[in-house]
Amino acid sequence: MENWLQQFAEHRERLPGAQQPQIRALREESIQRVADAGLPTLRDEDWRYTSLQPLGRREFKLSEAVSPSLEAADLEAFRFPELDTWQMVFVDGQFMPGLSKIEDLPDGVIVHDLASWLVDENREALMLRNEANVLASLNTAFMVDGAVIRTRENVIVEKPLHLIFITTAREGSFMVVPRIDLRTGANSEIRVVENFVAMGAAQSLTNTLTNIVAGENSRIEYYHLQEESKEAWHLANIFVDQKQDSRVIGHSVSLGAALARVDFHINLDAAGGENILNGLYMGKDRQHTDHHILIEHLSPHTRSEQRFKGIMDGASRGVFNGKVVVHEGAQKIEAVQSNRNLLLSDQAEVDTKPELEIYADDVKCAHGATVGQLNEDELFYLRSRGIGEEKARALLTWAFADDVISRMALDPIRQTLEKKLAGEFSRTEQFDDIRDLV
Amino acid sequence: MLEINNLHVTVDGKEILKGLDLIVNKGEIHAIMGPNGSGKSTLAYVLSGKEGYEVTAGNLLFEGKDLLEFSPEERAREGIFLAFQYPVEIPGVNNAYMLKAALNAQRKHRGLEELDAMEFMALVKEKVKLVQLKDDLLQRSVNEGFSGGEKKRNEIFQMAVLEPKLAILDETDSGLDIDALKIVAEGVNALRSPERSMIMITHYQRLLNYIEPDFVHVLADGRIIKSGGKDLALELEKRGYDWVREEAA
Repeated sequence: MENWLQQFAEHRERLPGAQQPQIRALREESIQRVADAGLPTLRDEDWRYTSLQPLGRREFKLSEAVSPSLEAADLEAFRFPELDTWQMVFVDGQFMPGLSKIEDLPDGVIVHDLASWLVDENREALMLRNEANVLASLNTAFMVDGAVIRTRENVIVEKPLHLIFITTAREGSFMVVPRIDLRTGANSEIRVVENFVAMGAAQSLTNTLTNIVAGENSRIEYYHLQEESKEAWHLANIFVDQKQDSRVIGHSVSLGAALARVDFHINLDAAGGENILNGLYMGKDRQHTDHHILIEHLSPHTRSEQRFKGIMDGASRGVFNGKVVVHEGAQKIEAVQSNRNLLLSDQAEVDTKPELEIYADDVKCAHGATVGQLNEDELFYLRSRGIGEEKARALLTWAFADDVISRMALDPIRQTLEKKLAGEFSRTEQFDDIRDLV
Repeated sequence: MLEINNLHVTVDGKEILKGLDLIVNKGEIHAIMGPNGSGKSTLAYVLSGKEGYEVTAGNLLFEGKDLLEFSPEERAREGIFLAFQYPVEIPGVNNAYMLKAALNAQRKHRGLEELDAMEFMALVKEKVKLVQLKDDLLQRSVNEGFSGGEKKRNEIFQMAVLEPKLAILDETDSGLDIDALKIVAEGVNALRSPERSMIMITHYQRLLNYIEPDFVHVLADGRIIKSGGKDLALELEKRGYDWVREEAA
């Protein structure tokens, strides 16, 4: 904790918007809340299985303006082949205009880097939410850069917006604090890809916050793709507020980081709102991954669906907690939640807890969780055809994961991930192109 | 081709096969009949190497090689094929992809060139006619959402593509209506060859009207207690199994 306060004292004058009284006040309030509340501990119900204590012991320095010699060619590895996108690149937390492509956006779309947004006196106020959340407060206190995205009503943004957050291997531990603020106008449509990647064994702490407000009858598809370095920490809070008849589809994929914790807070507070959330998390070695989802059905005629799958290998640990709350008077609700986990080793562990709290009577809710191993009958069937045991296991594991990936609407992202997963699961045998016959 | 001597097999501590002997020569079709629980499916699984079937005595020789030394995939690559009584559904694994991976693993084992996607699809187009399987089933997940008849036809289709030396058909006829049975039988007959042996495990004589065996064996209480020609099947149909048992006792 001392480290955070010290970092704040050191940086408060330099943080973007330091000259703006409201921003300044906002940061001061936030750091005060962090100081008062402290980091969550295992005694907090929401943090029972994930300890942040090691965070308090490491001295993460807030990443300051750097100009790493990154060139456009270095980014190729992180782009999706044949996917034409608008693009914002952040290196160790800083926006890199030279590597980004957000000029010539169509009318009715605003995409802006957060740092200059914060110093602009005429800016619209940032959305703030859930001040009780310490990590969110920490983000507000330190937010360095990120993206502000707006669509005007009736605007369909054809090309997806790809946000690439790159961390690099530098000396010592450092902290990056991105913030994404997305608001859509009525009847508009946009797809946003948040992509967290690393070059080398970055010892980084990412504490990211995404605020989404989906306007009436708008449609958003967003991706949270976490492929941080295996030395990194990844903490994410994603808040979604949905207006009437809006539809938000989220895809969450968590592959990297020593410790990853992703929290979704979804508010369905107007009729007709629909939220669909697909998730895949994987762990190897001693990786720890924790997903918490809170869905609040505040209005009648809202619908939510979460399908999360976990694949844990080595001595990794997966945590899933999904809570669906149907508030009083919120009738005609449909809520589906499932969490299925595959354990590939004896040392891997999963703690899963789907929860339903229902205070209305005319609702349709279903939830379930499973933890299991590969099906022996399926394995034998494949082997009895001549497929080697390792390949059979890889194939079944891949199929388990692909069930999530295959729901992605953006084919190039789906294909890239499928290839990546095939490589992950097949240790020695080569997969031929898994999709060549599909 | 296949030689089974005094085979004893235990499942979960219970002895199921109690000294089974069987010799299958190249090109022969053997029908194995018997009442429920006599050990028919156990024989099929032991031959294909499923875990949980412990051989406590006896041996299994395939082309002179000790099968018990081989994993299920090695047995398949050596040319043994099991058509499952209950084909397994494998969500997310594409039928054609699975079969191509299987075929190429087998070809590689035999020192043959692997087939590319084009060559494989050409082969599939030819073989799929044998069992009148709809093309779209090939592009679905293995057996997922297939009807009972489609699953059985898919087994025979796989057999047609993999061209085994020894095929074991485990109750391939059960649960099929007469039209489906005819299609399956035609497929199997088309695969008869002097180079290929088959073991047909069945409960019903009906199948043998369509696929004519060279030999019929009665398996009861873990042993083959009577062997004969195809007429034996007709007699079993008429008189049941008890008289064979009494005769054997």
